[in-house]
Amino acid sequence: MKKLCILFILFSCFAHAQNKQLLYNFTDIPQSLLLNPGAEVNYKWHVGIPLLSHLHASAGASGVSAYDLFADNGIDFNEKLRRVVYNLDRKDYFTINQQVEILSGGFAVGKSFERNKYLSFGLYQELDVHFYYPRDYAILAYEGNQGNIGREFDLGDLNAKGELISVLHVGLTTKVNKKWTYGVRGKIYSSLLNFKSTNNSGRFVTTEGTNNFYNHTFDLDLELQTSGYASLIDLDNDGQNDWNKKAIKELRKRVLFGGNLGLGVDFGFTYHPKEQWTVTGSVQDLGFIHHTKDVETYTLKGEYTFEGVNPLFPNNGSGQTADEYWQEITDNFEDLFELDTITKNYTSWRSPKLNGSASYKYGKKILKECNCTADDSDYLNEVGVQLFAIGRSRRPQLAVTAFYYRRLFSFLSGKVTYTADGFSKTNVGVGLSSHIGNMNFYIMADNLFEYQNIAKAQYASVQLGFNYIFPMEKK
Amino acid sequence: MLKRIIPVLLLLIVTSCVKDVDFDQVDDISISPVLESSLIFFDFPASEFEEPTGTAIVTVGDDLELDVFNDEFLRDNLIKAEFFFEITNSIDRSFRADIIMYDENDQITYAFAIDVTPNGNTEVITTHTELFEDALLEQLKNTIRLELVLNMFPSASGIPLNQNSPGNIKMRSKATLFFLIDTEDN
Repeated sequence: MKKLCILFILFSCFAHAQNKQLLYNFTDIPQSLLLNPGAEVNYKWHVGIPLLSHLHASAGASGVSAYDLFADNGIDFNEKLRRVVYNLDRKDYFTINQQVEILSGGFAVGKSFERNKYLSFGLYQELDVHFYYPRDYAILAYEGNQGNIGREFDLGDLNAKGELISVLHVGLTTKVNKKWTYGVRGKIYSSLLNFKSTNNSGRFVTTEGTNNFYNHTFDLDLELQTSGYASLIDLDNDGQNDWNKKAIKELRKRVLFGGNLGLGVDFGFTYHPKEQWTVTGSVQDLGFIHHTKDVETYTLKGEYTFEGVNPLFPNNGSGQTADEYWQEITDNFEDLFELDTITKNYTSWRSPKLNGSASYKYGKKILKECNCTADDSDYLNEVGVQLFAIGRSRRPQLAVTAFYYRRLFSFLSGKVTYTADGFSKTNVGVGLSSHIGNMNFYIMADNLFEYQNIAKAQYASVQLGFNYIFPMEKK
Repeated sequence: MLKRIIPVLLLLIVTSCVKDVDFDQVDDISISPVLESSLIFFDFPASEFEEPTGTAIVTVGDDLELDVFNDEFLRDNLIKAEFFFEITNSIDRSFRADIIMYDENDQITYAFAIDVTPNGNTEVITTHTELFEDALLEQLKNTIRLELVLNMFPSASGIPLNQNSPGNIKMRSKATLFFLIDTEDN
């Protein structure tokens, strides 16, 4: 139970799905290239501080917060639980996402007089878990079938996937001219662990019977695909600590090409229709992982209607003896609920992400000497709108963000965002990026209004990192 | 400026706290689903009990393995069970259904009977509820086998039963299982 609590705290402390609205197009920070390989960066080279260049943790729950369930407000816990069980619907979801950049860097390439290309690369680890609220299962477990005669429980409500991967990537950003920049990033995924149960169907229903009070109909077609899991379970186990150590060691082996491999691509662009206007767009993680090593698939398949047991007399017309008859019922149930384990290769698609933005820059710095603006200086302000979408098993999830970016000082820039999505309609976030010498430090957090009481937030996210950046000189 | 902003932001993140929340409440969890399942049923015509004398006792019976109540989940979380029987008789004879429960050592854990009286060939519905709670529930949880014995008694008027005798005896039954799932060990 303690573990469950911790999970819930995590859920609400670092929350939010994969939308990185604060980092998107924040080109002072090299990691913005991970969201759009066509971001307009202006560095000679950069290198991320190993393991510290990009830390991101988030989790979210649509439709419920830890506060809803655990508020110390005198309302009986079971009443709060009841509300949660009934108020969530099958479209509600829970998600956890975490990333750590292990290594990263980049440098400008091209002809020496005009280095118009930027090559960036790195290795990061990502954990992504997403599951829908299995409403019908929850209600069946909560109520039982007595009050639900005639109600079909949809077993397709079970829909979950999770992955632990490492991503090795190389991207090339090309500045075509003043108006156009585009970029492509290739990725090699190595899956450390994967599970996927997204193609479930079936039903359980109790109806009024004819021969007996009820007919119970089971129609099951459930499947759980796993990779990297079976071998961990099979590790010698001399106690929990020992197992943990061995499991971590085993997972570490899979980071560089040791796991199940996959390929993916990101692409994106930046376009200035006019000097002060910017339009950007990107697609991330259009890719798949092919699972062939250490794969195990568990299936539960079958159909059976049970109306009770008709016990007496072998001569009930079927020619069966009572024993045979009884055996048949037992066999039917055993077949129905027998978990088949098969070794089958499978392909998991990454959740693709779409980003887009339109923005307007204004306000150049006024020079003290002449009380005028320098023509070649940058604009200090930018306002705009961003869109984010992520493909999930059932339907894409969307977010809309309005943002304001301001270069506060030569060494500090900031971005404020207001985001509406499936978690919240009032998510305000702030991101800051500082450049002291060549050292870049950035930190971003969203859902700030909820920070006084994080338990009420359905999510919030934190990202931070350190880079060493060598910028292009001004011409 | 920077020196001021960063600590403030860090402070915000570090001190952002979880207020008015008590995660220990999870220990209070208790949910009480109620499951219903069909149990035994049969439907036999009078001819099944054919006896030419009108005075014989006809006994039929069968054994059922019934070890679901041994299941660990049921052992821990089942707090009450109710068996409900409905017997519809239109055979002009008295019946008695004996339900006998056995444990793994073949010892009887519990037994009960349902008496069925006739009203000529008019349908008579007899219902019977057997409640398992406390000590009796424990006996149910020790049960692995159930025997159903149906006895037909001699006719009051001495009329024998043959292939053409009218009437049927039908049984329908269901079990209602009351669970209490909580964090305490029962």
